[in-house]
Amino acid sequence: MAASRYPGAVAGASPGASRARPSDLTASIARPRPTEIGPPLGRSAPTAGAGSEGITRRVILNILEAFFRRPWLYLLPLLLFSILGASTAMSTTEQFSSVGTMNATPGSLFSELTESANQPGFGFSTPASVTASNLNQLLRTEEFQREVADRAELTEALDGGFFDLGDIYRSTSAYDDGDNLVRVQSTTGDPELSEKFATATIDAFIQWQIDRDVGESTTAEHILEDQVAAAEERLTAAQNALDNYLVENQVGPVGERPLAQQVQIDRLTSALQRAEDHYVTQVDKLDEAKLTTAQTKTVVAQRLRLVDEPTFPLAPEPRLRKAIMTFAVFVVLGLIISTALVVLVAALDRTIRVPNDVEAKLGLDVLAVVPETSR
Amino acid sequence: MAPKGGLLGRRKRRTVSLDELGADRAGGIGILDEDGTVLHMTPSAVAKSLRYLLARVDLHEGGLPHRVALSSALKKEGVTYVTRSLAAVLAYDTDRSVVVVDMNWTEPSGEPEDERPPGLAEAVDQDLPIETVIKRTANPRLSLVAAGSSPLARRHALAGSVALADKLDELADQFDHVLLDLPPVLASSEAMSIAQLADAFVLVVLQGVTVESQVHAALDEMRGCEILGVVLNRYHSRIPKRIRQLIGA
Repeated sequence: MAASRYPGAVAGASPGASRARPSDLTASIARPRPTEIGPPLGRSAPTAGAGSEGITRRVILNILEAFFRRPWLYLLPLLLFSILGASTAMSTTEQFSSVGTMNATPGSLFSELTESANQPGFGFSTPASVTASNLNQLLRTEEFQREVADRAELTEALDGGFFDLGDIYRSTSAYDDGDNLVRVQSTTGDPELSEKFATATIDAFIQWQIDRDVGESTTAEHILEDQVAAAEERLTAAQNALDNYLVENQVGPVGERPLAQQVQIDRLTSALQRAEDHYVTQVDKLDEAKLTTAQTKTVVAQRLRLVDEPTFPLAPEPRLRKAIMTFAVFVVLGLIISTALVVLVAALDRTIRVPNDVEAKLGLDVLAVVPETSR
Repeated sequence: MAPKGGLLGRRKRRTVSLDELGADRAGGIGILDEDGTVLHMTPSAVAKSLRYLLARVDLHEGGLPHRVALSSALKKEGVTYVTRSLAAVLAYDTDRSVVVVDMNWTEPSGEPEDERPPGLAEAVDQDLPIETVIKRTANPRLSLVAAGSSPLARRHALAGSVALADKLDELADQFDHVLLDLPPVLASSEAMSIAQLADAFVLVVLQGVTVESQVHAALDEMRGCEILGVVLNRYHSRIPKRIRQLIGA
């Protein structure tokens, strides 16, 4: 072994020739092997250790250090949320679900509904998923909620404060089941209410789709009805004008009219003919509009139709599964908050915590790590 | 008559069995005055860590420089403790002579101001022979020099004086290693002046207390000095050993 300037450290020999040292005192004096010692000392560029692995290890070390400094503080959110979750899960009341099924098929209605969903970047949509999404969006609107309450014949209960419109949104939802089936589920503590909500939601939605689709032709109908009425008045007026003129200007004994009368009669007859033609045209247009409305209603009914009516739930939902899910959600939430807290504290801690920090943050070598001892 | 507080810190009763050089059976090393009173005790775990330091410096730098200054960014980071411990290990493990020079005129270790023995400040100001302020210990290779007293207004001039440099040269002639226990870099300007008189500089950082920016500020002040590295003091990992082994820390 090469001579060292620290012979005591290497061999445990006495530093002074005249002084003896108990051999057991030097037993613990172990000099590190050169391979453990590392690169030359001094200042170097700040480094994060050995690449990304070094960074990862340093970050993990700092997070763990932060956690183990005050473990109970960081576990507190998890604990509180777990208690809250357990309490919520225990207090879960019996819930009854009623499910109805609609069939949504592609077509012009679907094309219209998926107008935005088919934009690049929105991914693939099925008729059922688009319909379910549309229904869930509608359920958030007060107008639709009120329509559901009306159809469920629960307006009085609503006005009496037995439930509010928000209950409809909170208890009812739609989800797709395959490409074409849309399930509408309503879950409340009352089986009858669940059935009514589900049924009324489906009815209101189908009607909303029909109203939306036939809106244009219905508007045309209203306009044409006004125009037919106006044409009818004009026709009546023309007929009356001709009749009155004929009554006032009877044919003479000779059987011939003066030329002036004949001209006037021809003019009135021509006006009557034009009024009659206009009336017939308007009536035809109205008939066409009515036909279009009827056709559209049929098409919508075919493309969005009720397959299974919501049934009266005879048994409540299994409570255990719901309780476990509720508890799990709270636990996960608590875990996220606890983890975020530890990471935040570790990120905000700008002190030198671990030897790796010295090399990474200061670009200096760690000469020694002096352990904490009772001094 | 010896002062009540001792030369470099409060007197401690000698409650453990130490050999004549101050080492205990567990591997700790003490600094004993000539009466056998323990002035400083380096636990075995700390001694082991500092031996690692010496081995690294020995391997990479060809040995510990002749004059080494130790300081920190802030107060209470344990510079005096580390300096004395390093001196104790160095003197015990090697055949080299070591002197620890306390240069904390603001807060010299231990004694009340009126009870302080003459130290380096008096030796410089009154041009006393350096031998008069050298305190010998039970280990003939380890000596101590107290800071002494210096008026506040005089300290900066003292730190930058040629006389101080001369006294340190005298110490350097007598000892193989001169360890300068400096005041905190960010708390006084003396540290920067005195560090220029050393061959190398070691920064002591208290784990979990000193902020990174403060350490950077201290290092910026010390640019121009040969920085050996950092001693991470009072290190204690709260991570359970099993987890540390798992992540390879």
